[in-house]
Amino acid sequence: MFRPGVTFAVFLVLSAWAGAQAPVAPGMTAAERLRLHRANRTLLVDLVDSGVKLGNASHPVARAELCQGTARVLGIALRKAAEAQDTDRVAELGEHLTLVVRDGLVPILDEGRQTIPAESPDAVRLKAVRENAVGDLNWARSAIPATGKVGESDKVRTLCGTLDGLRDQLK
Amino acid sequence: MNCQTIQNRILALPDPRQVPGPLHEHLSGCAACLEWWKQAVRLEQLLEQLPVPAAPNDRKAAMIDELTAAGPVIKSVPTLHRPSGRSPLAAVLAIPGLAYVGGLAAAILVLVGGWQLFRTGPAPVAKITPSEDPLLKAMVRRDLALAQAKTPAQRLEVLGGMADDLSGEARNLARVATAEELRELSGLFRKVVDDGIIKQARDFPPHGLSVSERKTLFETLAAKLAEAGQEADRSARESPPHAQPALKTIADTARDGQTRLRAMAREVL
Repeated sequence: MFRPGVTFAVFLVLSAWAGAQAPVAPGMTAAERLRLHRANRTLLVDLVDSGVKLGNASHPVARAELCQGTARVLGIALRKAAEAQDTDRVAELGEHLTLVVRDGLVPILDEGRQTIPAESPDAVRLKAVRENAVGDLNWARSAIPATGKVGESDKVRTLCGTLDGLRDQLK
Repeated sequence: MNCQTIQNRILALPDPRQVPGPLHEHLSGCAACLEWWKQAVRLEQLLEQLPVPAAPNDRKAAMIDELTAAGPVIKSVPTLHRPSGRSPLAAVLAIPGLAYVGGLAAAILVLVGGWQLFRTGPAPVAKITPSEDPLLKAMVRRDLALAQAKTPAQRLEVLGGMADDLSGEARNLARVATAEELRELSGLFRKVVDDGIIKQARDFPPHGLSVSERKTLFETLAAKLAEAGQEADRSARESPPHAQPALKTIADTARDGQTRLRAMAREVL
């Protein structure tokens, strides 16, 4: 009786330990997925729309404008999340916004600066995109409080530093 | 003590060769008792040399009978009272082979645990926390990939992935989302296929790819759409009635897109 008991106890402890080692499963319940879908429904419509337009755009200025539009809708959602004191969502949307601006918009703008003549109408449009992008970033960033649950989160503090850095890159 | 008392005490000794101190004093001063003691010692030696007869067969039983008849001897071992039936754990543990199965499982866990503990390389990191929306993440990445795409072929491939993401989301939510939400998803899928993939394929620059590369690209996209259509059809059959129109729209859109892409692939030749 003692030996099976010990075996069973060891089995339970090892199972718990092994379970604790496993990565968080990416799968989620349908209900959780639906909750997230509802929270992001408007954003998804905007992202699909801008994605299809980006797919059809080949001119650098048009691409820059579309990319800035994607950054803007993400900034709007981030601002709403900050106002709702939703720390996780601020961090999630901030990560997306960072990605789109850093790896999408900034390279397109830099490429346009090199290839489009400085005094051309396209250069003026490109400059407007850059200014609007800075304004949008400032607007989204200003909604993140410096204190409180959201402001004191490590993730959000890191995000604020990243957004400040991106703003400098765009200027 | 007189000599008779001394001689009686010598007879009572367990071994006459071991004489205590007071007796020894008397023997050293009394020749008669000393002689008597010597005979007692000799007798003891002779007795030791005698062969020992075997004990009778029933002697043990007789002795036990004598012991048990004499007093309070425990004749049976008392047992503790147990409730009738076995406990659930005892019943489970009594299953034949369970101990081996348990031991094997424990051994496997120990091996897996050891591998986890001592393997090299970074530990797996969760890419998605429960509060993150995988579809939102996918759409952001698709938009970024479209912004970074340098060629029409790259854009077509990204749009194909976007269509996949949306049809997958519709299937995942078929049982829980409302008809309106599913209709919206099917509308987004149609937008990506019609305004994205088909338009890109139709406007594909003639010199963007070689003829065979373009044909391969269109055929690959058509196959992906065909698969999406089949999965939507299958999902529609297994979904509640309110979800079926949206899934059928996705299936129809995918089939239509596939047909048009295959036609364009043929035109290329």
